[in-house]
Amino acid sequence: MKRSIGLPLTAVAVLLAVACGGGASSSSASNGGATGPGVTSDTIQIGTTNAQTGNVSGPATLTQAGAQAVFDKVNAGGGVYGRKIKDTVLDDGYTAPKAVANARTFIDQPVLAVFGGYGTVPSQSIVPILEQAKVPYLFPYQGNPYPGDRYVFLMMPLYRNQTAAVIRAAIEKYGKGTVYALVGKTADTPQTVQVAQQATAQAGGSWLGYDEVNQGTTDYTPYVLRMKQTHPDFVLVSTTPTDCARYVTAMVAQGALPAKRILGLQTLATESFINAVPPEASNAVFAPGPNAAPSNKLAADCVATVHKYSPGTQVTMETLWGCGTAQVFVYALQKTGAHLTRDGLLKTLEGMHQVDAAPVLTPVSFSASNHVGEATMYQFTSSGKQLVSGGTMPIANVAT
Amino acid sequence: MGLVGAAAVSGVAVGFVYGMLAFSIVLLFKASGIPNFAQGNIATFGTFIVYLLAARAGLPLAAAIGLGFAGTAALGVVIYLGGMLPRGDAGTLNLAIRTLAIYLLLFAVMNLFWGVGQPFAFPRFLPAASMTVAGVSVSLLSLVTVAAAVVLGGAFWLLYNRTATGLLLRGIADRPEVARLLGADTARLSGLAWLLAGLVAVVVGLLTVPTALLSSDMMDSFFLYAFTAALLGGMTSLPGAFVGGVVVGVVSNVVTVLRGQEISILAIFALLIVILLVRPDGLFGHGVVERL
Repeated sequence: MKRSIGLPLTAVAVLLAVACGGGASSSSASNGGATGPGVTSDTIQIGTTNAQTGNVSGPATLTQAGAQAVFDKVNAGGGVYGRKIKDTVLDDGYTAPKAVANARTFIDQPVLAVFGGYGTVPSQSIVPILEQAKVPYLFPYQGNPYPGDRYVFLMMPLYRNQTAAVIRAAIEKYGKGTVYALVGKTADTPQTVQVAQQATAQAGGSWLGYDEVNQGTTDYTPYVLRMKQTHPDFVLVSTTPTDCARYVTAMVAQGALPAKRILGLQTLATESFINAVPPEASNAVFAPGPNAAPSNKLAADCVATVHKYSPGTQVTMETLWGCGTAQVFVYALQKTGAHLTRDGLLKTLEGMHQVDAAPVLTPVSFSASNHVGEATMYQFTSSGKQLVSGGTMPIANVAT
Repeated sequence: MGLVGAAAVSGVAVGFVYGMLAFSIVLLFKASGIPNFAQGNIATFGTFIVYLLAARAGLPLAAAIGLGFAGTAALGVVIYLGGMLPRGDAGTLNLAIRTLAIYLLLFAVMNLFWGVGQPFAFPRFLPAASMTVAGVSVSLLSLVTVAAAVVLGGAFWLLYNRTATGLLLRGIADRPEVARLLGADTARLSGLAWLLAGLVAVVVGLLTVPTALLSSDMMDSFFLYAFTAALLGGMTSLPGAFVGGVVVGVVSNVVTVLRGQEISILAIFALLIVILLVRPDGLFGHGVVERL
């Protein structure tokens, strides 16, 4: 009879794995089991998948530079309980396949958490993988919902809630009027449109219709022509920054600026958008921003940090976002204590209520049923290619 | 004129942009017999050269454009000498795949060296003037595009039909062995074709960048429409490239305003299939007769 050696070998392998603490918790073994994956006696290892190249790399690299300045500052001060924060940044080029490969690298590394990153496409592609591996995914620069996902924590309000808020605030500020929208296709688009219609009606405005577009649309003129014939007072633009800029540029070319304002989400409250579009369009923008502008005194701490630890980096809205979210992350690490594990970090985050850990952001709250941190955003307009902050607007968050 | 008419006029305007890129594909195909899938990225590369010289090195825009033309023409020659000439008898499929590889290579190079900070707003080189046609604002950029199409189309028609060099270029594409036997310097002529394709690519890039913003993938979506335009018009017809471009532009924009983007894409490629079934060489192309 032929004897199989498969089972005994498997058993030995399992015993060895248990004895060594398993691949995912090898760092625990190296420091006496006091901490979780990605944490050693002197290092907190995190990972970031970010669009370091490609057509959103401008803002994406600035978010990372802002965050890295905070980590450098913390490390220069001795770290968190003596552990230096080490962030491995891998380029995803704003593509799903590269982001997924990066996420797998982080899972294998392993990291304590995946932090930051830019945009919807990479984020949506890696959430299921990180969820399965039970790796916390903290504060990517995007606002799509992940209902029921325990491991994803967003900082900025959901896009659909930003949409409702900006419509309500615009009608309140500039008077009642008609609204037309251009929205990029995402899984959340139907809900976003529904919310926009409801918000328009509730604020006393009239909904004229909308167009749905793919990212990278070549010619926006047909959409502008459709919008132009409805003569809207407000045009809501919600897609990628580059596509927003192309659409708005086509609006100017067709003499089709809305009677009152161009509305948008946080992508419009950025220097890169304002600088990319013609001045007559940038002066008509009204949009929410998740953080204060560089000229705001609330941004002073971050501005100083970036200047000191990342000299030469341009301080923009995105830089400050990276700085602010990193400050909240560091706050959560400190609150979790010396015994740093993924579960401990999640509990700390879910216990945060109206925390002002980052002055440049609005107060942050999470709970077991709410994984969206900010419930207020700053109002922005633009004048002469300069972003102008005009107070705040409340955002009604829904549970994720 | 209503929405459909306005969309048609806007389609003509963008159609000339597709046509310009299609034209640069066709002019190389006429001289080499190779469908160049890298043409869009050569245009983007040339536009990057101009941008870097003007916006970062601080050169006057006219000088930057001049150097951009020179640099991209040189790039065309380098691509030919390094990527196409060695084992140039490997067959059309092999050479076409090489152009795909060059497309990817150029994309990677642009991302590597100029990836950070994209997209870039290109320095404005035309006033924001426009005129209204059928309720559509036609920008000065669109008018310049049409003018450039007429000038380039005329110049290359003359080159191919009224000069000995043009005749030789057509000869090496249609009958390379015969042309060689007759003493044509095929390497020099093919290099010239790539140089000319590089020059036209810069024109295409400069006419595209004001509305598309400069990024490594700026021409990707344009290239799909342009290649469709080249196939529609016929890969051997220079005027056909512009006709194909306008057909694609008009169909795309009219169907978009009537039925949305997805139906528009479907309509364009359905039209392409129908035309290729009815006229395998495109609207104005001619097939190569093989002697058995």
